[in-house]
Amino acid sequence: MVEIEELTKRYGRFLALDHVNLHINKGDIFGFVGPNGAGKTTTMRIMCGLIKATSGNVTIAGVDVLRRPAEVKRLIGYVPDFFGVYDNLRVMEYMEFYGSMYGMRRSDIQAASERLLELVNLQDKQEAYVDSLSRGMKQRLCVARALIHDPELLILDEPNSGLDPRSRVEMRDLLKRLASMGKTIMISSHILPELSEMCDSIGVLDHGRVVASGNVDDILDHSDAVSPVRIKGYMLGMNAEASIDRISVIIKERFDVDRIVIRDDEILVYYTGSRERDSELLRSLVDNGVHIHQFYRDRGDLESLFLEITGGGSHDWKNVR
Amino acid sequence: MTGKMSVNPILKKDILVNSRNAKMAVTITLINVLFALIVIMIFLINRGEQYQTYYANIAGMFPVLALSEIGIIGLIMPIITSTSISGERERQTLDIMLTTPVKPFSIVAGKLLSAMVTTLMYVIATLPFLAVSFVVGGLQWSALFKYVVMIFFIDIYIGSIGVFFSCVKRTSVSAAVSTIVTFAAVVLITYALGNVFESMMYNSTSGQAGYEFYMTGKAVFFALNPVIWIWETYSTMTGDMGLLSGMTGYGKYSDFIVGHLDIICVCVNLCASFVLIRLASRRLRTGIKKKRSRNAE
Repeated sequence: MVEIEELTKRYGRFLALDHVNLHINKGDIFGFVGPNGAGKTTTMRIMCGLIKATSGNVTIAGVDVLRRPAEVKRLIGYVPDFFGVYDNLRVMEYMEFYGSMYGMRRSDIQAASERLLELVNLQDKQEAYVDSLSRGMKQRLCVARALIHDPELLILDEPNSGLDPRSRVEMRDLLKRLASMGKTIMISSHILPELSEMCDSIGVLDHGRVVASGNVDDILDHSDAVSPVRIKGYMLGMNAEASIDRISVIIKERFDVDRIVIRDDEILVYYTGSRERDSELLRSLVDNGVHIHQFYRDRGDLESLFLEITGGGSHDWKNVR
Repeated sequence: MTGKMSVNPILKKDILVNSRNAKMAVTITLINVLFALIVIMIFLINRGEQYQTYYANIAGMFPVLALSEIGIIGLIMPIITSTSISGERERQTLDIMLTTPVKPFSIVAGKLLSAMVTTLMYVIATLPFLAVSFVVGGLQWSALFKYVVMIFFIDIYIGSIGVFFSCVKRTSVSAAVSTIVTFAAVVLITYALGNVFESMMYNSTSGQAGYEFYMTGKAVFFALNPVIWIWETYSTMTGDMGLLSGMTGYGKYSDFIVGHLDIICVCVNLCASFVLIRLASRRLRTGIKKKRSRNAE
């Protein structure tokens, strides 16, 4: 659906995007993650035709954004991070205005608006003035507005910023419903737990470069390095404290670990490893007389992954498929 | 899209939004109050006059009101148009507009047209006062036609400058200031240069050829001035000597320009307006350079 190849954007000497490569499948919810200033909004604005890329290619549904921007505009609906509304315009008039911007017939706009306002749960607010709506309602209205012309791709830049928890849940449910209807959605957000819940694939951007991209589950499975192995065990003939010390020594002698953290009676072992190495560690401990009653590795979450990746972790995250 | 012609959506939206705004009603009221006071004052001044003088002075009210209205629109139009695009930018609605298939030229044209419609509403609201002169008699309908043309011309000319700066400047205030300064500069500089050429003519020792050259130069600058032809029309209506008196008889080129000043002025300045509108839409397409910190997100 979306192919971004070697996308570069330069502002004078400042390199905002550095050969960005991304792929979004049709029907996916794609999460775009990165710290402030990473280049997420720049990427989205290039996709929408608001700014021109320095070099590279972007195609949406096979249409080249940079060469045929007018055609692409019919394929996308854009919800920016900061958006305003018009004073003295009712909700239905707001939808009619944007429908007419896409050259739709009045009857089509009316039918689409009623359907979309019901989808975003604003059917009772058709005659209300737009500036009288709450922040969450305005956000949902903006999503409805972006869908008025039935685009294939919906691009949302920080749609949950400034929303209360209930509104965020409503927005998340709405996006899931849209995805189930076949829409492809690209969403950037700093609220990573919500992204990991609803996204099929993610791309992590840092300083204008893609540092990780791919299926969420694959990336999190690949994130073994950022989550520790948690061990509880004891040595016969030793007390708890001595057991923990002895186990720690065994681990350090046998394995190249990043660090060991002892928390109460639990040993957290951080190292770059695979599941095979985890098995070796377990076997080694058992062979050295350690009685194990807990041995497992935390499954990584998007937040710790984000911190690891953008903090300059040494693991290779790119293009995990 | 259907084949039939549709109203510019931005024009339609702006008319709807502006008409619900108290500002428009207040402005129309204030202009009407001003005109009412002028009309009452003229009637009171002429109360004791003889019949012919009385009705001549009432008929002469039209150019006074017409010129006043043009002056008011000349002040209002920069404010309306200079906030047209920059206001959308400040309201953060411009980006969404630019992601739709509507061309930047249509956006700019829509904004200019909506400003013209707004000023037209002010004109229509004050027509009853202008009509008093016609009721009394002694005025040709061509005077009304010329007045309408002048209104349209001033609307388009100042409006195009306002919309251009609205696209170029970051804020509405700077756009409004730039519009007023630019308009004033064009009026004053072309007037001043015309008079410079005239004084050079009086100091010239080149004979008839020199006179023709300098007078043609003066005529050219006067033709570029967007206000002089309006002033000339006003002077004709009131029977006063205009700025162009004494400019004929120096050569065929200056005579031609002076004889067709209104058409030349309108054509040249409307071409300039069109160029400004195209530049404004090009600026919208390429976008204003934003501060790096915001764009680098």
